[in-house]
Amino acid sequence: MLEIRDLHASVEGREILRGIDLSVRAGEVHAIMGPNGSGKSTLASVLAGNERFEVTRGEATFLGRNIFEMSIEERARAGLFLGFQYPVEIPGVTMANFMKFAVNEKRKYQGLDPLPAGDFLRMMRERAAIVELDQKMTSRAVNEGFSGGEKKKNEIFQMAMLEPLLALLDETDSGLDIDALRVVATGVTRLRTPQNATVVITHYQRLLDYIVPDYVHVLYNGRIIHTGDRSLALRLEEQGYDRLIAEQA
Amino acid sequence: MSMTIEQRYAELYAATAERIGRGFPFSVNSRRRQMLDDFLLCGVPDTREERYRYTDMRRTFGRALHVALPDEGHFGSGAPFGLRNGYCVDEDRLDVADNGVIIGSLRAASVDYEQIVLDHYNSMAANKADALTALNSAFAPDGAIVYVPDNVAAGSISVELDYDSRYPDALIFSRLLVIVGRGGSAEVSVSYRCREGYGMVVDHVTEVVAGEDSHLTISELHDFSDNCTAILNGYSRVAAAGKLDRIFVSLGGEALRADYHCDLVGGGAQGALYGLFITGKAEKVDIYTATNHLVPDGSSYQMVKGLASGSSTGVFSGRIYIAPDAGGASAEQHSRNITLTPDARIVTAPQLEIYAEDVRCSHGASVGQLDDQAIYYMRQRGIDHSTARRLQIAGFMNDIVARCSDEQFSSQLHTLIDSKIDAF
Ligand SMILES: Nc1ncnc2c1ncn2[C@@H]1O[C@H](COP(=O)(O)OP(=O)(O)OP(=O)(O)O)[C@@H](O)[C@H]1O
Ligand SMILES: [Mg+2]
Repeated sequence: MLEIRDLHASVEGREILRGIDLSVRAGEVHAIMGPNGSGKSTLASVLAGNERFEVTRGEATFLGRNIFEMSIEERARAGLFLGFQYPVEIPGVTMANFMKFAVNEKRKYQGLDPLPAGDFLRMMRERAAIVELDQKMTSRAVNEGFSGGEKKKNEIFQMAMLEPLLALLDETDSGLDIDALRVVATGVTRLRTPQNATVVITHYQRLLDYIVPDYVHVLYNGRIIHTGDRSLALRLEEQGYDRLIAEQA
Repeated sequence: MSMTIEQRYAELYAATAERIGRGFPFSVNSRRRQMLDDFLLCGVPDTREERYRYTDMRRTFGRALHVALPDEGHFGSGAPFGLRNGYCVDEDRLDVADNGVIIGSLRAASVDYEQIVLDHYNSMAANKADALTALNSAFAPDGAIVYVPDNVAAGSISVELDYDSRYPDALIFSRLLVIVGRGGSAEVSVSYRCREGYGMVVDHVTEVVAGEDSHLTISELHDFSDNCTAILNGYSRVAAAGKLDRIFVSLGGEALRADYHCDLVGGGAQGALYGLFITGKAEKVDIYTATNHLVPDGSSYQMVKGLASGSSTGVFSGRIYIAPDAGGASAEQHSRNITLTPDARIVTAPQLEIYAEDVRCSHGASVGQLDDQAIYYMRQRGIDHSTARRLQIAGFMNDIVARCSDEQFSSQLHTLIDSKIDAF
């Protein structure tokens, strides 16, 4: 589904990603861990198409297509979803209106007619329930005045609405209280199918108790320095990154 | 020897006063001369005058303009009530409802309801020492009146102000007087419209009287074409416990100048202004508000938003005055603006004059751009770039537009705003 080869990217002339290789197949869950500033969000942003970053070398394909030849919205419509580490506020635009546009754009891409209003409302209700998001939030402006935890829940609500093939979840667990973490993580798990894949970026192995990864990657200084299975996350939790980094050096 | 601008209007007045005043009672006409003298005394303001700092009135009025006179074919018949070039479309129309609500020609009302007109017409406009208001008071050949008696809920009222003079460089004086009595209420929508200006100058004055305990909402749409200069001076007075909400949406014009003066003259009076201006190309919109807390315990609120594109200019000057004995006042002012292009410019100038103690006053002004991150966020959800931009713009404006409750008026508003934004 996603194939990344020797990906280099920089921001303002500074190289952040320095040769990433990663492949993600349908049905898999990958976790990316790594110290602050190592480039995790940058990788997610580059895949989503954030124009702040410049791809300087390497290639990436999504569903067999060169991802860098697709616009941000094309990638999204084709099924790429980024759960933002810092969700953006859009004053004056209600969640419901925002989602109506997003869902219908995707349907258009799939050759489907816009969803009738009643069906759309029912869908919003159902999907909000998956992450126990208060239905009232959908009539509020996107992320405006949402608490940190509500913003994160709202990301997964959007994921539930858009049913992506590939979800990149950037620290969706941070800022959530213990109960909310369980709800959100269970929600993500419920959205799993054999056809889709999930990449979770996280600092805490706790999330991985719920969303059990097939692979755990450690990103350090713009490179994946180590890949292991679930047990790697547990080991990192105990030992921190220093030992692993020293071993790799 | 060349004449000054003021002398030219004095001559014009001498030549046309008889025709302009035809149909009005002596009581009204006798004040015109005084108004002209006020005009001559003040003189057409130049840009050194604080209130007109951003719009050059001497240039506008220095041009050779043709005053729209009664016998130039303004009359016809229109189903919705309104004015055309300042004249009541249906000549001397006056609709008087069973509940006493009067809607119609100011000239006709000054005959049939002379006392009402004498009590309120020019009651505020006369003593503001503004030359262009005085000039209007001297020349206004007709106008529109909306009168709601005490304790009457008048519901929705619409007034259409069309400007379409067949002469180039027309100077049009138009006038609106809205009176809501004690305990009365009304929602008035006013559409100003000029399709093709041909160098037209509109000098319009609105006077609004909101009685004790009344609730009056006035929504305005300013839709002037590129080739038209409009000067809209508004004066409102709110009595004790009265509530006045004014809403405006300005869609540009070669140069649009709108003034909103509001005097809170009774305890607990509330005056709110919700405004939006959208400018493109080389248009210019200059909004000036003056809110005067003259007695204790008044509350005022202004939220004025501006969106400028092309090489257009928007100005918001907001003055709040709290008199020495107007304690307990609460005043809030917000100016929020977005420029869409590097050449667009928005100037915002709050002006607070607070002479009382124990007041709550807050204000804020910002000029920014669209948020790139918000657009990225929307695109990441599959929404294309231009829709994302439009959604963000709509989000910026929505709270103002949503205040217009009249369905027909607000759908007209949406259509016009959309087509304006589409061109950006
Ligand atoms: N827009 C930007 N401008 C300048 N530097 C940036 C920008 N975005 C990221 N960086 C830099 O790139 C590096 C990697 O940042 P990134 O956000 O990818 O880290 P991260 O691994 O997600 O960290 P964290 O765990 O703290 O979220 C950091 O040094 C950061 O300062
Ligand atoms: Mg990050």
